[in-house]
Amino acid sequence: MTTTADTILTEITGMLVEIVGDEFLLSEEVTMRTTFNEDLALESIEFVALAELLHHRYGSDVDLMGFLAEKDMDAILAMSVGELVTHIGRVTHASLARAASASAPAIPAAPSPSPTPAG
Amino acid sequence: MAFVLANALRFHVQRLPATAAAASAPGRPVVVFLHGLVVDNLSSFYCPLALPTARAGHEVVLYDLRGHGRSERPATGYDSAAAVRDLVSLLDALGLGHRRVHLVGNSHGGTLALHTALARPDLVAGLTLLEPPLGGAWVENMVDTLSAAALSLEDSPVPAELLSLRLRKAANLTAIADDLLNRTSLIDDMAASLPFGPADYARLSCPALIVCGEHSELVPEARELARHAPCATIEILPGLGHDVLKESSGVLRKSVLAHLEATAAAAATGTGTGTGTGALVR
Repeated sequence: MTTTADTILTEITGMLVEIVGDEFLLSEEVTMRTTFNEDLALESIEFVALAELLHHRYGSDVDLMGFLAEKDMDAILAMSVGELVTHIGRVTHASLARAASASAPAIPAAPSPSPTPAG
Repeated sequence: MAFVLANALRFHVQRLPATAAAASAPGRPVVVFLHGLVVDNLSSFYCPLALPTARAGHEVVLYDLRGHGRSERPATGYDSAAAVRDLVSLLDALGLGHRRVHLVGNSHGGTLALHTALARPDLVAGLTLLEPPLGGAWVENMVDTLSAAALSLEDSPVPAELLSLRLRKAANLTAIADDLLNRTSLIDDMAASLPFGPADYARLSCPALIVCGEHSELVPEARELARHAPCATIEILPGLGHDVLKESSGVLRKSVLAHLEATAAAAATGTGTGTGTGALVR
């Protein structure tokens, strides 16, 4: 597991403890394979609270709403913690790469496509 | 932001920012979701309607009604007038007191939404009512059902047993239901509520979309609302009963988003109040 994924997993675990309390989470370690429903028995309302904390922590770049909008709540709760970590890690990594390239010396860019007329 | 103090109560609130350019248009109402009774909470709206609504360019507020979900559970105040005060106070606390709202209510939340629109026509720019119970018969049946549930839960060791079996979800829901039904005025407040009538419906000045399941017992009274309200449309979803929110996210989402956009456009430009009149049945 990369350091980034490790860090995200640690942060998500901390958020889960904040939301659920630690009595149920301390009994077993949260890993990338831990599932929200089967292993953590997370309630829908608790996942909504987690989504809010993630949005505040990682910002709109992660587009958590877009990621979740493709699923229903049953599918969301069936996810493993690792799937969420991977999504956040991928988007965060891409965001860092964009920031790095934006601060790099300018190189000639391909011409922008013409704006598409609204249809 | 998750917990907000309003009307002297701690409410669990979730705000979703609008993620489309349309959100920048002035005058667009904030879309506020009101869930159903007892074991329901704001999460039932999250995937089927709230996320798509935010992504369609509407600012979204979800909250757990008093006593429900993760909001504080006081012993009293489960009548519709208190619900209106809770909502108004919450909007103020969120800094949205100057904004008009579009209320989306599911089941009992729909009833509260209609109460709010009739009490505060200046505040409510539009309504979306999913399976709203409006008549006296439903209230009587629900009071009987809840009273029976209260008796079965009273002094029951079930939550402790469930907890010991690590059935945390079931334990939490059972504990909330027990608390609401046996240690608050919710059932008494429901029993004391007055049914709506044609004169109420005729006073509804904002555009309203009413969605019912074909097999729901609530359809006849919902049709009465659509018949008497100046700007109400009813949509009947074939093959469904009361739980249209859970069973029909695709069809429902399309209808609700179209209604929200039409209402928002009318409110933003100040042109017209209706998205249609009469009954649309499909």
